[in-house]
Amino acid sequence: MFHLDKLPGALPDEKLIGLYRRHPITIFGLILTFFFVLVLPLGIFRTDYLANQQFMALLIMFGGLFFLFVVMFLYQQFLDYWLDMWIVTTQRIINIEQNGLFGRTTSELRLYRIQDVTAKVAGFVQSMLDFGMVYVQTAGEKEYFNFEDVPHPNLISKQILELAELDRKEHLEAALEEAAEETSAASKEAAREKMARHIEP
Amino acid sequence: MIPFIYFLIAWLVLLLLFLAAATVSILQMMRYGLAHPLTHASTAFLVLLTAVVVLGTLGYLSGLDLKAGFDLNGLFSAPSLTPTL
Repeated sequence: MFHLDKLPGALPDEKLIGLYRRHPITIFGLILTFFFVLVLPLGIFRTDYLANQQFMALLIMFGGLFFLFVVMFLYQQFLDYWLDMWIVTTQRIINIEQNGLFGRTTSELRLYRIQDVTAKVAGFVQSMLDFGMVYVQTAGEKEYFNFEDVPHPNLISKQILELAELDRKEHLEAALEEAAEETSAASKEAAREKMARHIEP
Repeated sequence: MIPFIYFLIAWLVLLLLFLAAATVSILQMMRYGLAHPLTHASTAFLVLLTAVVVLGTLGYLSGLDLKAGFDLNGLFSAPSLTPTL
């Protein structure tokens, strides 16, 4: 099982900022369908059936099985919803997508590589319930990183931008220090070679 | 007349299919699901519901004569099942 305090491939000093999923309203239609399918057999049910014991036995056997299959279908749809998540930490964004029962894609993006973040809320339902898309644009090969139907997309985009800015600063400082160390090491090496050439007869 | 045991075999085959699919789904949930009360609650709900339905059905079937035949014609030609205009 996946624990938030043990993130996959955790980086040093990495802290969890937030975990986002699609808004629960996105599976509301599915739950309605589930109840409709569950009630559907009642449409052809008659009290006369109860008088026939053999038919009653078949009804219990296959009716129960039908009910179980419908519940399992709902469970699988919930699994698909529940295992899709976007995790934002102080250093990266992790996107975990579940496609059906067996398809699973995990990708991550370092915050300092983010170039632009866009929040999009479109339509009446999305506006009323405040959920929508967050597009994260990077400089890498994969241009977009999308948060689908997440609640409060404007807040999330603002948060990601701030975190990216912080991470970029830290990354820049680290890169500058590294570059300075490399430069000083290279200049020391060059000086050492020059000295050696002078000493040589 | 169709022996009732045939229906029982068909039910068992479908039940096995259901159990296989449910087991795979639960394993996926337990493997990749987030450690969260809702993950455990939804899985427990599926397991308990399955146990109740299967045990209830088996309990009902234990009181039936499985050697008896099932008359489909008799059922559908019963006056109570003819449409009333």
